[in-house]
Amino acid sequence: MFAIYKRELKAYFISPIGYLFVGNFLAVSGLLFSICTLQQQESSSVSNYFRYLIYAFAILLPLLTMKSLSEERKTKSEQLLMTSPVSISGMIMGKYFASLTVFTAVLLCNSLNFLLLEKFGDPNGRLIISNLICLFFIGALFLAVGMFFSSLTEDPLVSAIGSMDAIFVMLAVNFLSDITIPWLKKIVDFISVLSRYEPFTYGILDITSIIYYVSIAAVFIFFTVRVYERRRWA
Amino acid sequence: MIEFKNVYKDYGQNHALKGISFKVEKGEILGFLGPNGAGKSTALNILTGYLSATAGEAFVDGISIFENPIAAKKLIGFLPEMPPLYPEMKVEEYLNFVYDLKGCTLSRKQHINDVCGVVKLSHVKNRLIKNLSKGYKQRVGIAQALIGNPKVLVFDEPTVGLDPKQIIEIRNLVKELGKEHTIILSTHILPEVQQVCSRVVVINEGLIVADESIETLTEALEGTRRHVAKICGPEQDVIKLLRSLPALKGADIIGRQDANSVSYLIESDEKIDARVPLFNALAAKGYALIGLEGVDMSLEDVFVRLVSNKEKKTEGRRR
Amino acid sequence: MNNINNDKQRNAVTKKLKYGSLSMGFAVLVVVLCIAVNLAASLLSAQWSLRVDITDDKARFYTISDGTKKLFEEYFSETPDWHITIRFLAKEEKVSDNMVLELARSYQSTFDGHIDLEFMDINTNIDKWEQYCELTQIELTSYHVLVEGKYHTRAISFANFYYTDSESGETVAFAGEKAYTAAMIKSGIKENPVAVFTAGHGESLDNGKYPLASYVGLSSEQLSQANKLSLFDTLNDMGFEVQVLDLNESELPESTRLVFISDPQRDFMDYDPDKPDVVSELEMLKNAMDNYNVTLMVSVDDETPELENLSRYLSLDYGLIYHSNVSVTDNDNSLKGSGGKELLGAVAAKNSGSLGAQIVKGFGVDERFVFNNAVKLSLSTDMSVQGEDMIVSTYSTAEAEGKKDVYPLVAYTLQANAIEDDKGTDTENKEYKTAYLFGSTEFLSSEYLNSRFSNRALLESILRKANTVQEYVAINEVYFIDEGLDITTGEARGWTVAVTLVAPAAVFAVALVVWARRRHA
Repeated sequence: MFAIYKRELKAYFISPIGYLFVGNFLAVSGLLFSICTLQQQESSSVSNYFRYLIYAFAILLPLLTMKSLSEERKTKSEQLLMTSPVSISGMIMGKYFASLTVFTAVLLCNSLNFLLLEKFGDPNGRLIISNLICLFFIGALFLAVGMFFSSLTEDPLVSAIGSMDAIFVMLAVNFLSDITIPWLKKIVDFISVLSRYEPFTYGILDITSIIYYVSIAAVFIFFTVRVYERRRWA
Repeated sequence: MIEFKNVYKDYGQNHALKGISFKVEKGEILGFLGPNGAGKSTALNILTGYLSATAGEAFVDGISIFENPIAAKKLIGFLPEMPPLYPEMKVEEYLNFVYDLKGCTLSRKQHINDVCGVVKLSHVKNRLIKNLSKGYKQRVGIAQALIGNPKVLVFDEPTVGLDPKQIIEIRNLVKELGKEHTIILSTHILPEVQQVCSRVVVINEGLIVADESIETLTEALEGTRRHVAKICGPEQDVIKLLRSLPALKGADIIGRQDANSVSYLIESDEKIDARVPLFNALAAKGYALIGLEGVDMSLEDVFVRLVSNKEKKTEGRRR
Repeated sequence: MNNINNDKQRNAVTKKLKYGSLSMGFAVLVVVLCIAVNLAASLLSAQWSLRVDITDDKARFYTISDGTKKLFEEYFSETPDWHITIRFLAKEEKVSDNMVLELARSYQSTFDGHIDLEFMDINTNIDKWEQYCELTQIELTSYHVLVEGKYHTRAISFANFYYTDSESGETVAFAGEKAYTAAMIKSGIKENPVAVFTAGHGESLDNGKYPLASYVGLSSEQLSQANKLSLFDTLNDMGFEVQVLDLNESELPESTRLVFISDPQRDFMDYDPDKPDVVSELEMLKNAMDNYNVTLMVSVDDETPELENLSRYLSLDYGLIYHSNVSVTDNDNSLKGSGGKELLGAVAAKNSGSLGAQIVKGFGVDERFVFNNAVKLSLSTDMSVQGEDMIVSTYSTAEAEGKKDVYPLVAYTLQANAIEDDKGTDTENKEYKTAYLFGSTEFLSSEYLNSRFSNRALLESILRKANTVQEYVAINEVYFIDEGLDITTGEARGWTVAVTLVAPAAVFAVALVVWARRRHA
């Protein structure tokens, strides 16, 4: 599993995809950051930035996972992985953690932007940290969704668009939270990625939210493994 | 060393393997022979753990690939039909990855150098895999299988798509490896099996049709020379004439291929050149021989022959 | 053959159990498990707190600053019996604002023996309640807290412990220490300095939003409750009694230290030879300036009309001139979307050692002030006026009447008069009078005082200089989420480019290098 993790990590940066992801992530998040804070000057809102960034994740993160499994399936190089002494879950976890590592590194790199807030204002560092922690877990969830879609198809493009759609749906559920039917609203709040994010914007690390993100990510990873198992036993 | 026990594989309604069983002993180079689509790759993919079987069991060195896949996979080096390469990596990077992947304990640098030496890759170690020729890619694929020095090597059609020189090199390489490894070599090319293997298992339509030593195969192939003759003349008369010729062992109508001639498959004993008597006989009757060419045996023919030889032998024994 | 078939079937069944149709059941099981874990977590969070608050608000909100500590230590050494009682008008467990209560506890423990904390249920102590209402001139509720000192009892409403954003109406900051410390200082002083806002000439705060005429006659407490104007609050916090007076109807009290003329629309009365008996407004002002050590503050904007008497007084006595209807704009150093009207100013005091230099001493060169609808100011070159200077000016990118230049935005004049008494002219002691002219009436608006810009700090610095009676500590309010940026449009533009283009470009450059190095390998 560690060998696969290492290779995946390296593969991101000997092929264009890793650079495209990092570059685009920095550009998009930088732009959102500028729009929400620097350009707003006095009415700067770093929480708006985080909120928009979550939406940007829907497009950015599938770039990281779209090739993970589909490409190997297309070129048949997965045969090497599946015939080597590594379990399928080990293989998928290795790839998942590689994408998670790149994502985390970029998220941290990108956080250098917050130094600008320090320069021109007096940001609440702890709030930023709690937001970042939550964004990490949301990203981890979206990457798991991306992995799942990557396992379904041989075409990276199909995988990317599929996972974008799935993530959009997960985010759009939040718009239903305005409904007045109490039990439905309760369910929507329970499953909505964004409503779970709410406490973090106040600097509160909500363990139940983290459990939620991690468990949903685990379910997607589990399904990914199932896809492979089923394909083997088909 | 390797054992298939009644292995079935269904793809939905399509039965790819219909219960195959065979064994490979330690040190053997087994030719796994069959036409395209016969189930060769499916069987090998099951053996190496890429696919699972619908039913049955497969063992490597006594370890079940289904019960204890990780341990079984450790014993196998596998070169699939399409070498599992990462084109954006360099050869050395790739082999290092495989080394890690297989959890090798041999000295890393030494071992990778050795493997590169064996498959003659040393001078391309720092090149990108995607920039290599097909032959070199195939060698990288073999090198990959050799990493970790597994007891069993499984090569699925290793010479497909290579030029004749490369084919010879690969065959020699496999032969060489056979001295220290148990090898399964799948192929649809008869001479390859004859040249490289010590035993042959023939599979057709998901069933094992023959499991013979290489001598038996050679025997079955030997002794007969085959030609296709194009002859102008009435079909029934010509076939009668051909069958009456003492120089020929047999004759069959293949079919009418153009307006005025019919093609016939004729067989003769290897030691006799039947062409002169054939020509003379036809000329005497006034039929024109307008084409005559030698043909190799098709795989189907070999199956038939192997099977019929076997039947003959068993019959003979019974008698 | 039969045997083989049996085998196949048997094997197929075992495989199915593991991976076949039941795998669907397996998947469902995992999903159910996931839902169960989350439900359990929700249930647990209702029982135990599964939330970790990492904001560390306790320390932020309830720590008493060194300024307050130092000041109070001085009081203790001068008057050992200095004592304050903080009295909540409800039972301890019924106090509705936890932050206000918590901070009171913090005061009690920090100044043990000098500050006490008491609780009085006003529902059961009606008599006492009436007494306190009488004392403070306020209809007290359980949403007030009393600060009782040696001379006065101050009532602070809970709302006054917080700052609200004037635009969104959201509570943005906790200013508890400010409120408590100011009330404690004032309740321990016999006579507080008075800050007078003139009314009767169309004066208003926040550019016409709050006409001052409607506040005439209200007490300082009532004013601070009325509209929660930051200017009033700041004055209160700094120890001033705020009064709004129509000078035609009432005289300036002797304890007046500050006179505000904010955004006047009509002129002031000056000496009228036809009515020699009447003391005109400007005469009253001049008299106060000369005798009571009063500081005058006038704020005007580009719509303030030419007011003959007032303008003459400002320019002749103080050399401060505003050019009616001449706007100053700045397209580079201004807030976005204001068309250059909401412009920024920087520290500008020229003469080191001057009052202006003292006022801006603690200010960095990158400190910025925000103005809106600024009017062109100038300083008279008349030699008879001395000590005039600007404190805040525009950047050189500012433009007025089509000319780019550095224009004053806040100017002042310090006049020293030798005191003449029975023994003749006293050259040792001098009376000072100071006048400030603000080139924008919104400079002191609640919005700007609560902004990230340094408007409030400048006001506080000026007030500290103006109030010679009492020392005051600068206490900062604690923002809940303080996100405002003190950044110019130009800087924002530059950094936007840097953040969105430079970093990605660097990444792509690395990609190019890697590609170039590997391409022919």
